[in-house]
Amino acid sequence: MGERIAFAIAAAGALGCAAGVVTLSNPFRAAVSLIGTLLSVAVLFLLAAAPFAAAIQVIVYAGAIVVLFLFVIAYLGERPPRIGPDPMGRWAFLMATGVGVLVALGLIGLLRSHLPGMRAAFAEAGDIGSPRAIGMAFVDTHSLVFEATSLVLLIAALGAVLLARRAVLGERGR
Amino acid sequence: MSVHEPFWLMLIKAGLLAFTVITIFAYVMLWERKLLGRFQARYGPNRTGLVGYMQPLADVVKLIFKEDFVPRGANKVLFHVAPVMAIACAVTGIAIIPFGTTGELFGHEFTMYGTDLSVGVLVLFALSGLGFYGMILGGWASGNKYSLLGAARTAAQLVSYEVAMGLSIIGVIMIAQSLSLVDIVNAQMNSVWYILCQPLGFAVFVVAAVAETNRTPFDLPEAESELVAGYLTEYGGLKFAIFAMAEYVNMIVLSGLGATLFLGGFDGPWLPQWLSWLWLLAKIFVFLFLFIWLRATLPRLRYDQLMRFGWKVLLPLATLNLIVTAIVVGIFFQND
Amino acid sequence: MGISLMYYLLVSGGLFALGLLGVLIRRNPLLLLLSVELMLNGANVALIGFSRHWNSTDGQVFALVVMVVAAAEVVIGLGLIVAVFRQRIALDVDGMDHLKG
Repeated sequence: MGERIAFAIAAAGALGCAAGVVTLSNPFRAAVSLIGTLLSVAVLFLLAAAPFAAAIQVIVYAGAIVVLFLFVIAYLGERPPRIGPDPMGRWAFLMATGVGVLVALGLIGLLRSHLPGMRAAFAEAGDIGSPRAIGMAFVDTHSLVFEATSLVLLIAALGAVLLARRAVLGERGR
Repeated sequence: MSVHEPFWLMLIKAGLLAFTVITIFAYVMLWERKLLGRFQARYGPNRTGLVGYMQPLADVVKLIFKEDFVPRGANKVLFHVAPVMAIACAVTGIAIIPFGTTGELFGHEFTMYGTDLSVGVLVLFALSGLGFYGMILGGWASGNKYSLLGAARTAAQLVSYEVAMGLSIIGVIMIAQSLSLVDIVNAQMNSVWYILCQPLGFAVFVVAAVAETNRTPFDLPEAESELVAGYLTEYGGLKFAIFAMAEYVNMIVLSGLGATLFLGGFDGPWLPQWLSWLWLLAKIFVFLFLFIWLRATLPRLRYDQLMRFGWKVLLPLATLNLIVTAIVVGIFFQND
Repeated sequence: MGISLMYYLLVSGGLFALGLLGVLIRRNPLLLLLSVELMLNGANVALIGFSRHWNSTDGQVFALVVMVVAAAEVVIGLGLIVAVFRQRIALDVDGMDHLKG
């Protein structure tokens, strides 16, 4: 019972803050709303026997990625992209309708599915989310993925340094 | 080790822990001012009460009666939310630090810690990561260029030193084979305190903790002579008191973490088991004394020196510690 | 009285749909990246839900890898935005069509 209440609060928080991210016009407030979504999703992870993933979600997403966003938003300022009437209204309405249709189709498909285990409460979880289990999975079964992700991070760091350097050169060259 | 506790017991424990940490904070502030005074060959505050023990109360009363203004260009919601976020994340950290093992009260078994998670150490990092937002939002929501710059500098410093702190702790985790703080203390009770096994890790942790809590010599972002007062510029009265409280409680929580990871937590020779939290308090006070001593003695680092030190000195040292510990644990201690 | 897989999938679908809507509507590239993060979070919720359903660690490993990739993508995306900004171009993704054939 307590689990259901916690899930309901976390799900409402996640979807509500996501709606905030999509609709708020001030980039700073949208980023703060994203923090709310990320924390709610971390609670959802905790309810699904994934404490390590929840901690990493908060540390990496809410604690580092959004901080990076906030830095860039503070740096770039908040002037609106264009001055004048916003021709977006009709486009936004069309897109909202389109996505709404997709969501409706998805809902119908989901609620009518007869796949086994969809509606049953989760069975008792084994030791799937503890650091030991995840560590063993990374080192034992999925070691290739582990190495690949470290390579991805290295390339991203190099790319960021390169982008920053090239921008500075571009400025001096002009 | 899951002890099933009734809900009312958990509520009592939560209230007690929160009250304890706030009281300790008040007297740490007083102790710091008196110690700083002694380091500087003068008395600290000694007018209010016997040896100045009413000074924290006097400070709080003064700050409450100050005008609670909001600057005109400020973002009102975030301006109010920022100190709340800072203090919430700081005080929540005390739930993870174990003050003892299990005890018994009126027939109910209870544990002398808030909660024991299998990812205990990571939760403290998550909380300090969320605590950054208190500063960043506070700095930005003030609508003041100096606050924004101070907040950006603070955030960059904290993120850099958090990396070094995390790496320095991994050595301890490798030896204890668990991320849970209660397991780490139990492992130290069965063997030696980890400060003897991990001297380099301890040194890196202490330096990184001093930087994480924005204390001298790393307190450039909030020092009075730099950028006015950084992200605290536009905060006055009670909000400023909350930010100061958040900083001190952060200090207490990190001291608790250091005592648990390196000095054996509540492990101590003579006291009975239900008084073991006194040992933890003693070790926390050792750490706090170290923090205050550093503040009284060392000059402040310039910002680029600070960042250079964090990335070019502390991070390689922490990585070296990690590699050596991994090799030693992997070769000599793999028997399970 | 527990949670079932359906609820996780509903939340995941909702987050993904909202992120999709954000990507389609937003002109400011920063807000666009935020919406992409929403979509990635939706995918993560589904992965963790399924991992709990099948009682396996693989889903969580996948979710962690997605988080790493999201971090890398945000770094590069923000670098690009800052580089564009430095060239004094207005931050409007609909206006960045110089390569259009």
